[in-house]
Amino acid sequence: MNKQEILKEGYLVAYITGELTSEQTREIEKFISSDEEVKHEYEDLERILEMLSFDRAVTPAATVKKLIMEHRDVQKKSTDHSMLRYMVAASVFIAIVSAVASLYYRGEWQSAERELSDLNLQHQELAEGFQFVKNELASNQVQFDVVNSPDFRRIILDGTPNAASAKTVLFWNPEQEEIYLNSSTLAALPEGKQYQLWALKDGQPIDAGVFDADAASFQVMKNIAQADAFAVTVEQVGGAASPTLSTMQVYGEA
Amino acid sequence: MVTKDFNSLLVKRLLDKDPTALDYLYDHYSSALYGIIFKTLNHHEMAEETLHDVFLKIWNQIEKFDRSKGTLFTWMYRIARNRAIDVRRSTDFKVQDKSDDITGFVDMFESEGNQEDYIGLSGVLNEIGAMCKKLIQLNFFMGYSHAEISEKEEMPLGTVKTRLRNCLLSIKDKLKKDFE
Repeated sequence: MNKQEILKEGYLVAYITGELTSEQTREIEKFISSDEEVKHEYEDLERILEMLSFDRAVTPAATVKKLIMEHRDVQKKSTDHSMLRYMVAASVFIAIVSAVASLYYRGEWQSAERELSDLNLQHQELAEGFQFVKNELASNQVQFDVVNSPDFRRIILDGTPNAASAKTVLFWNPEQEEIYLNSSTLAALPEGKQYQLWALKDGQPIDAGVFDADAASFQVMKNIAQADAFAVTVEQVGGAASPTLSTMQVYGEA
Repeated sequence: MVTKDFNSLLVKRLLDKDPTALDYLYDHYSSALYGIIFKTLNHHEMAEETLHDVFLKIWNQIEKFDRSKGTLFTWMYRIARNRAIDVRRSTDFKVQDKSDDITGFVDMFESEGNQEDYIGLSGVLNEIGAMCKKLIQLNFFMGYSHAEISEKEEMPLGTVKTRLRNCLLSIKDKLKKDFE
């Protein structure tokens, strides 16, 4: 194929319309890129084709454009596996991050819970301490009130030969029938024993309650309205119906 | 040339898959390409489906466009022409009894042109003669090859090729001022 053949035998038109074999196409392309005259005529023919096409244009229905714009992404989807892989990778990454984060926050949470538990304990201890102090204060206030009240009679119970060094102070308000007793000077008792206070009226003993010696505070005893004297004996835990006189520790007249 | 520079920018944007470039491409070239497709198929519904496929092919295969081998329009024209020919040859089309017979030929250049005739193309087409117009219409617009035209017009193949070329070059000569 030579230049004159190409020009005169309409190969350039056939090249434009795509009628040539691939071998002929390659040869024509070689001439177009290397020969100015061939290139020039080819460009003229292209231009005429374009002019004629625009001159004979027909407007298609508007829906065609709409569908093209809607469908332009369809082809892309087949290549979008990379996007899918990316999304899978991203979700795995997010899962790992959230697992790590949940472990971390679980640790934080546990530590926070431990701290809270510690604080609760401290709070409980403080509350107990406060309650203790408060009780102490209340108890002391009661003792102070009792000691200073003109309504309470202060009765000293002296040690009997059973407990010569013992001495007990008893406060009695006959109007209110209240009795408080300071047991701090009484000796500790063996297991199973308790002290018991007796009010004596007309020679008859009346149970006024049991108490422990080691409770170093005011003991609140049973209500007693009338008494000539008070005595403390040693009895079985829980007290006895009548006093065991041989164990009498202290005695004092009202 | 401004047009070429503009088209290379358009191609670049198509390569970047910029939808506004497709929008622009469609607005500027769809009617010209649809004219080719419709004259090949002579059936609006089929032609519109074909146009749809052609634009998606242009959109999806823009990286195959090689400027050194011709203009963007020539490349798109080939796609439209070949696609329309394929559709016409398909059983689908033949079942619908769309005859590929040339005997019902109607001179498309008889009607008014679609574009404003600022280059005087109508006058030029009237001057080149009925045979020239028919050869151009059959070959460029209706998708018939030189061989098919030769057979159906009972004209030697060499004569078809030579006459077609001469017809096209005479259009160029008559529009000389536009080809300087």
